[in-house]
Amino acid sequence: MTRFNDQLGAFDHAAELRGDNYLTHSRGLMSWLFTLDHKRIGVMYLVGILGSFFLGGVMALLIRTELIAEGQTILPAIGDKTWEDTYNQVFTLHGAIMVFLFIIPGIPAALGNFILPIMLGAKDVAFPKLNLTSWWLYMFGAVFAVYAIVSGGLDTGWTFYTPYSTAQIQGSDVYYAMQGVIPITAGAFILGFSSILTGVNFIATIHMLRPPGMTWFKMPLFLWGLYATAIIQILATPVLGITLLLLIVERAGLIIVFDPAKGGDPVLYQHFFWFYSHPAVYIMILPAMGVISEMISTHSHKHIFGYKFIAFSSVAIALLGFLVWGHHMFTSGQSVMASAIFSLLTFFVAIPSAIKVFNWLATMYKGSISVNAPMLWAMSFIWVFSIGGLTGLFLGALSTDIHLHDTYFVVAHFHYVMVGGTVFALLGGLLHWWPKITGKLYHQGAAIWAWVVIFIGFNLTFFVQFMLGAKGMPRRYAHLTADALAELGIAEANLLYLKVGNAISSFGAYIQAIGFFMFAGVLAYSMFRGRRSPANPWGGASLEWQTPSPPPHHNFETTPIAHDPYDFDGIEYDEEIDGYVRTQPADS
Amino acid sequence: MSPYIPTLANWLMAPEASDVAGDVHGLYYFLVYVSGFFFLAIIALMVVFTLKYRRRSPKDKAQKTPTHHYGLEAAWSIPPLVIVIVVFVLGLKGFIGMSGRRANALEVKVNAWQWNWEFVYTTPEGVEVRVPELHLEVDRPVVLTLNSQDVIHSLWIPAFGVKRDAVPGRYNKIAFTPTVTSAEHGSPFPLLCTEYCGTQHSTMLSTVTVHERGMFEVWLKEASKAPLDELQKQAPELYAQYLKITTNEQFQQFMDALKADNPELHEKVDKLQRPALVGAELYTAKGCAQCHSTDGTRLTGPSLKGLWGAKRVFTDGAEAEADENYIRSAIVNPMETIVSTYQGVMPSYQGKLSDPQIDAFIAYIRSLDEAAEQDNNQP
Repeated sequence: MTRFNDQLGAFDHAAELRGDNYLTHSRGLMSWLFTLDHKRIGVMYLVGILGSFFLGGVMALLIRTELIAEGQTILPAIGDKTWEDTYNQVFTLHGAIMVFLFIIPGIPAALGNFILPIMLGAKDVAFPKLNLTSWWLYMFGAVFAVYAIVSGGLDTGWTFYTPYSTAQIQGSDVYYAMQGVIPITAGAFILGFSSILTGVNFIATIHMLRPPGMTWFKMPLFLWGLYATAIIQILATPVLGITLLLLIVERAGLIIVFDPAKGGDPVLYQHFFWFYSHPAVYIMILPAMGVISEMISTHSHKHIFGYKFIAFSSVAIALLGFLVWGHHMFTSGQSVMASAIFSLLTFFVAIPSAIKVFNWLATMYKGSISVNAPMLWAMSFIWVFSIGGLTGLFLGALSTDIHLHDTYFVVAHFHYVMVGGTVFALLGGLLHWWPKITGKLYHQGAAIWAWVVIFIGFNLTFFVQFMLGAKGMPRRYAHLTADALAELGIAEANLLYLKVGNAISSFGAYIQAIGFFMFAGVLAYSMFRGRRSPANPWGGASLEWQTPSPPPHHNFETTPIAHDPYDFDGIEYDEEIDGYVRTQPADS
Repeated sequence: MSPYIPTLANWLMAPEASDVAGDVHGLYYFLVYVSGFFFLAIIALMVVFTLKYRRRSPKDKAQKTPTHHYGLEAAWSIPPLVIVIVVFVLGLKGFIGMSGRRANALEVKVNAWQWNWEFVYTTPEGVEVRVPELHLEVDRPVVLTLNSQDVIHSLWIPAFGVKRDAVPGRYNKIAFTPTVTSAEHGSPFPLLCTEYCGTQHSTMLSTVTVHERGMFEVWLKEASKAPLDELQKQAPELYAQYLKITTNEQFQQFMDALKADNPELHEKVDKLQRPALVGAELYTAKGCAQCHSTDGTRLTGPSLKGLWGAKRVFTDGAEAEADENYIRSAIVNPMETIVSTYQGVMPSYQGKLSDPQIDAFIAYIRSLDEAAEQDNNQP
């Protein structure tokens, strides 16, 4: 077989001879903590976010165990607080950790950092020192968040709604939030800067460091996703920073903005908060959609269908995302006119999302579909994201939202979008690029079993919650309320439903937990015992598959020439290396 | 329920016991069918493609198909667009239904605080009756006016499909008409708090009893009479004194005496507040009378008579109806909404009046017109 020599053949050989890659380039803990190498920073982010995911996951299991039956089951009363207070702290920390420490930085900071410069054929991001600063800010913010747990707890929910979060107990009989509000919001404030700096870095990198031949419409779609995400990070995160700062100074007793007793407006906080936090939903999902575009095309060996529609739909979602924050506030008393406008704009977000799903399907049509673990994650992303997106219609519509707002229907909806969407894309993307990151292959069968268990557990946990919410279970409830309602004289079949539904949901959570441990086991085994991966194990066409696995310190010896990243012509299987090689240049 | 949309089994949704719930359920089931169709279509295609085009050998190649087709992509963007616009319109229709006014509606004030609900009815005699459960009448429209005394709460009655936040410092309204009595339903309906509000958020529960036609007035009379009947029975001379009360001062003296005398009875009678009397007292005590008349005379500020429900035009051209939120803001933030024909000279009462005092003012201002209406009706 003739192997086309585009920087690779000779280079691959040389690097292997030297045995030099980014992992072995230098040694010692300090060489990691103060590295300027985007790949190492990406790996350190990965460790940080997976650690946060574990912490948040433990909280999730505590929540589901508490709700497995009526009344107190596992959570203890701590100090002078009741067990309900403990529950309120646990769900708050679950949300805050998962959102601020895991999902928002998740794909951009970990996978994005590692893959973005390599996809561009660049040596690094535009500002490597800024990149390291982002990581340190992330760790610094995480320390604040952990400090909040030990410094008096936090029971506001991750949304920190005023006046519950701002007012202090002043000898009144009103119970306000615990003392951890300032540390955790300060932590989120710092994490915001980490996010902004990453966004700045990615935008500069994409503008300045694209290789010869890579026009905007020759960029891999993951980069479009990251670009759209970076725009949101830069434009929306400062608003969160200002809001949290106002909250902190108000709670410290310095100014009054939100406290209605002193002329403030608590609903103003909701506007400020969601002006960031709704776009933040797209910070979570846009890079995930980018990952899925790469995976679907690569594992189908087929050119992505409707490149421009997918690329522009990312930008459209990013921009529309700024105009829909009010749909979190239909019950707050905002005017009918405002609610109507927010509702209509919300529905427009459905269109670019639907376009992406249709285009992914069209990409698979007549492809050569490899049913391996990463592809199963990508396909199950379409499953869960479709459910998450379609149930969004129920919440975008005004009248149904009034019924479903702040119930388990909403809980199920955003878990389908965020866990189903972002986490599935993150784990799938991790398996997709794992051979590139570590240079090791993993056991496909075992990885598929881990996927099966997580997929079943996930749907079992969250699907039933749609019904629980629609039938009458509000969110953030420590009690199932079935017994309490029965005591008030309510005799409805719903009460039994509450108990059974919650038990099913908790059972699903345990299955998920088993699956995640299996998943971790597969990766750990691969890391220590895995077979060496070829440069291109899946037959991908974008630039990251043209450098060895793991890549050398500078990614590429010479700047590669970019081609259409989805042109699979001329990529041939090579039995000798159990991988794919390019035998003829791609279309430029 | 829209008749053209078949309901799924009862296990998908809360019971349907109001006109609003009818709208909500109709749209809900419509969306279940639409989403179900799209979901199944997407998954079916995905599964079929995966089975049919599975890579059997590593050397398999994908077939050549076009990489884009603008016509096709436009074509599959349009049906979802049409569907979401239809859903938007249906949702808006239901939303306006529950946000709008209702003629001849029963008005109930809802006070929320950690972690209780209180429902306030006003009898034709101007006495407020406070009860911990909501009582309504079947097929009679109702408007709830919600307010919170501490943090944000939210009232949800799943069977009625209605929910509204109780926000401190403002009055939110929601309207609906119950269509099923509690007797038909087999038990009262649950009412829950859905905005996280602290330790006992999940036990901030209450019930809704929907009375049969004509039975609500009977209940209200009972509820307002029960404490007074007891007063009459236990302390006839105090009862006689109660009937003669015309000012808040007398009312407070009476209540103080009762509290010292019979605390248990005091607690029951305390549910029967007379906010308009409190408002009248505040009107004199806080110096309002200097600038605002109660008989329509123009002083430095507008008269309070005829104010309730009137349209106000401000110096900046904006307009508002004199409802609870307007009166509140005119008291705490008077310079923000200056009626166009007056000078803005009123000082802010922010922090000088408590929430219950502002509520009492509102009740007083309303009572001025209700008194006038009664005078007109009885020439």
